[in-house]
Order: sequence, then C-alpha cells, then structure tokens
Amino acid sequence: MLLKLLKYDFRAMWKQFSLIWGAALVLALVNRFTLNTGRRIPVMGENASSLLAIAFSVVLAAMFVIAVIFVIQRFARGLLGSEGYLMHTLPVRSWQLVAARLICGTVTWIGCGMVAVLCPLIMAPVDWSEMIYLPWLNVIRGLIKHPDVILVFSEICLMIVSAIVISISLMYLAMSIGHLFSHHRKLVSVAAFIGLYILLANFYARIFLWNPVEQFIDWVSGNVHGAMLSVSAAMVIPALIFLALTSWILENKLNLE
Amino acid sequence: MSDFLIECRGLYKSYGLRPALSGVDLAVGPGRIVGLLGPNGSGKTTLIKLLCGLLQPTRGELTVDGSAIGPYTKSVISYLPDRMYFADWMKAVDLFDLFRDFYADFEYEKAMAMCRSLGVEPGDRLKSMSKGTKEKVQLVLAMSRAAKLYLLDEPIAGVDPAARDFILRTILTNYNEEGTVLLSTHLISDIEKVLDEAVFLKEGRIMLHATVDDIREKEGKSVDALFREIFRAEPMWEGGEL
Amino acid sequence: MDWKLDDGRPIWPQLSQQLARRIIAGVYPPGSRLPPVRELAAEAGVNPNTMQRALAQLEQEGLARADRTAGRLVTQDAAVLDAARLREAQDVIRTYFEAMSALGYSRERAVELLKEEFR
Repeated sequence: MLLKLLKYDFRAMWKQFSLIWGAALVLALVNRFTLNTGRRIPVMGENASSLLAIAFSVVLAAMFVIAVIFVIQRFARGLLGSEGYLMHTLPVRSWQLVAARLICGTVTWIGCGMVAVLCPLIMAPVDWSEMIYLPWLNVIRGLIKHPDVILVFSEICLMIVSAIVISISLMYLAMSIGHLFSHHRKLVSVAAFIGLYILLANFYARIFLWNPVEQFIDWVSGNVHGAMLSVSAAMVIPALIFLALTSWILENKLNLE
Repeated sequence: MSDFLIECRGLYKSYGLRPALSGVDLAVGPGRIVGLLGPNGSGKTTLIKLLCGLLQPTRGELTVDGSAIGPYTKSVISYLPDRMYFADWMKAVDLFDLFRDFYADFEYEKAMAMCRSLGVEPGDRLKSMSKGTKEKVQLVLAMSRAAKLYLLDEPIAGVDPAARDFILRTILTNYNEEGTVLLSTHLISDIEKVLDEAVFLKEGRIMLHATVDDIREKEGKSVDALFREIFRAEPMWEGGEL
Repeated sequence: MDWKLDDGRPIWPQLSQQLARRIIAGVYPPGSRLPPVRELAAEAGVNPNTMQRALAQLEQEGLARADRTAGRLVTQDAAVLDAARLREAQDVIRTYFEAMSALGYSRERAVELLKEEFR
C-alpha cells in the first residue's frame, strides 16, 4: 500500500516540479552561452545576458520556496484539508499516509538541491568534451583503494537526508497540532512550529551538556564516522518521535469538518 | 459475528463543547437502503464521517461489518462526501486508476461506462470541469464499487429535480444489492420511495428508526408528512431548506 | 403507463396493484416475461426490495410465477386473470359508490344514474 501511495505522491510532485526543474536547467544552459565569461563571445547584449542571469536566480529561488510550500500544502490540504476526504477513506494506515508524504517531500528537496548544484556546473565555462579525457579510471581505482571516501560521502548524504527529514517532520507535527484545535488552525500551526523549534534547540543545548552524553560524544568524535553517524542519529531520533506523534494524531484525533 | 452491518452503541461526538451526536444507538442490516433524515445540523454528516473514519468518536462504540473503523472497514465502505475532494492536477481517469489500485471492489469498466452514460469525458482535467460534472465524477467513483456499505452524504442536495431523479436512478441501478446504502438528506419527499428504512435524527439523537412501510401503515401518512410534523416546532431547519 | 404512488399507504401494495392492472390490461401479456426487479424498481423510482415484495404478492395471487431460469412469467391461466379482472372491477365500482355517496346520492339513485348514462 505504501508503494501505491508513493506512486500517486510522486505523480503529483512530478506534475509540479518537472516544469520548474526543466526551466532552471534550461536557463542555466542558456546562461552558459550568454554570460560574459571571457572565453566565449557573448551572443547577446550585456543587458539581455544580465537579465537572463537574474531570471535564472529568480527561478532557482522560486524553486526552493515552492519546494517548502509543496511540502506544507501536500500535508495541510492533502491530508488535513479537502483532499483528506479521499486519502483518509483509503484502506491504509495513517502512518503510511505520513510516510509516503515524507518520502516524497524528502526526495523533492533533494531533487531541488541537485538541480541547484547542477546548474552552476552547467553554467561553468568548462568544455564538456574535456571531461571525457579526465582520468576516470584512476579516480575509480583510487576510490576502490580507499573505500573510506565512499563511506564518508554516504555519511554526508545521510546527514543531509536526516536534516531534511527532521525539518519536514517538525512541520508535519506543527500542522497536526494545529489540526487539534477547532479555530485558528493555521495560527496555532505556526505557533506550534516555533514552539517545537525552540523546544528542539533547547533540548539539543541541554543534552549535549549532559555529562554522559558529553563523554559519549568525546568518545565517538575520535572517529570521523562515529561523529557523523551520531549527528545523523541526533536528528533522526527526534524526527521519528515527531512522525509517530503526527501519525497518532491523524489516526486518533482526525477531525475533518 | 452479528447480523448487522452497522452497529453503534452510545455514540457520542462533540466539537469542543457543542455536542453533534449525543448517545446514538443504531443497528442496520445488510441489503437495505436507509435514509438518514434530519434538518441541517442534526448530526447526519457527523454520523457518516464517524462511519468512514474522518472523525473519531468522543465516546461510544462503532463497528461496521463487525470491525472497528480501520483499514478493513474503509476497504468495504464507498463514500460520497458532500464536497469536492480532488487534487487539481488530476483527470477523472487518474482517480479511476487510484481507486483501482486501492479498492479491490472497484470496477473500472463500469466507471467508464457510467461516465459515458452521464456524459462525462473521463480524460478531461478535473480543474476544467463544472461543479455539476465534478459531482457526477464523484458519484461515478462511489457507485462503481461493489461495496458492502455505501455512505452517501446529501447526494441530491443542490441539484434540480430532473438531476435528482437521474442521481437516484444511478444509485438504484448500480449499487451492490448485498450491500447497504445509507444516504443522508433533508429532501425527504424525493427520496422516500427509494428507502427501506428511515432514521430520523434530531439534535444528535435518533427520534425514530422504522421501515417506510411500517411508518405508512401505522401513521397513515408518508414519511415526509411525519417528518414535517416532528420537526415543525423547529424554526431553525426551515431556513436550512433549499 | 406511469407509476402513481400516493402518500398515505405503504408503497408495496400500491406497486403490486399497479402491476396487476398492467397484466390485466395486457401491458405484460399472458405467458410473457416480466422485466427484472431492478429494472422495474428503477422505472418506478422505488427501492428494489419494495418491488420484490410487490412481485411476491403477484405470485401469491397467482398472476405471476417464478421461472426456473430466473425471472418471472405472467400467468396463462384465464381463470386467474378473470378473477383478478373482476377484483379490480369491483374496486372501481366501490370507488364509484363512495364518490357518489360523498356527493349525497343514495346507492339506488347512483345505480339509476348509471343506467340513465347508457340510455
């Protein structure tokens, strides 16, 4: 059932983001040829090319704003609003609904991040044909010799994913708390978000000063993997608690009026 | 297992301090068409939403087909809400796909055929459809399932009398005969002939639950006339009439 | 032939009476197959269970019988049809006298007027 839910979540996501991602990438490509890089002769006038550059930054900024709104809307309207009439009458558990939205939201943010990284690469005045002649084989051989690098890289990825997951779960829980009230749900949601954020920050501040934790951190920090994994865990564990609370509220306190 | 499809005992639901249902006991068997009748604000929609799991009861017990409300009951209930629930980007066929994926009792071909007979183009984007057409799509979705329980919330409110006949006919010719249809309305005269049983709700309580034939036999008047008698003293509901 | 249902009485006896009239009038000829319950119910805009009950009443009266291959056949028994026709006729006559009595005519006067009508 989770897979089926994901199918429709990703379909909705693709409808919205294919255009934005496409626009960002195309604009990056256009900018590559119009930006005055010295190596290439500008095809257009100075004004036009700077306008294009501005358009590109606007699209990129809009992409991140839309990504945040998307995550909020998919939850607020999609589960707690009118579309909830459909989703909550499907024969699935609440946690599956939440998990599907979370996975889709996380992938969306990662996708946006990747587009944001890819765009400067496209714009950079690098001759792509030269890339082919890079000593790729040596790079791969080197990676195999030092698998640590791959490990560290995946740990960094894990940290990024954990950071996204805790941010989204925080928003979900804030919106679910807002849903518990019969009036001013939006206002309560915002207040709950700020409250939860402060709570989380306080919690981190305290727990890291707590002696056993401090010693534990000292102990794991000796190792780069241990440090990174414990940072991830420090984010994932509260995220799981938030998600469990969110699912509980949806399962037991749902109030679609 | 009991013989009843729906069983409520001491069902109580309040929004804040305002009670919407106060102590509802109801048992409905399979293969019936039951009218949930009452003025606006009498708790009809609340009871339906409790049955399909969109609301949680404050107190009391509620089972459908012998199970507490959950994924199983949701898989045997077909729900027609009193509002639109679509995402804008979808087409009617996208919804049919979704229903086919999630409900084992959804008949895709039947949905397509019903669309054709109702004059709905299933490939059209929902965003571009009129309100009436969207309502037809929801009706098609609800009636294309061979469900054990159909919960239809005000299916004929806000449409003209010709469309009412059409909707009632669609329901009558398409529901699964082993299943029960529970439909809420305040337009009783239009629906009376279709019902096996009538449940009168007033201020969150059941005033009367009897078969239509019994009411006519004992009272010597139609359900509609009886309803008007019982609720005449209520100035509130006249305003709620269409 | 439209279905007419009035408010004060249970629906199924009204349906079975109107079905009987259709049979007597030859809308459903002797020996023919009656439309399925669901179709009749949709046509009359009534609950299938109610129509089912009305049809069961017809069977009871002998006007229709269940067929092995599902569905119902109209009886070919002339005696049964005649009896039903007579019952309906008596019903009409009774209605006539009731209406005349409401207008203030005695039974005898009502019969006389009826005879005069055909002179």
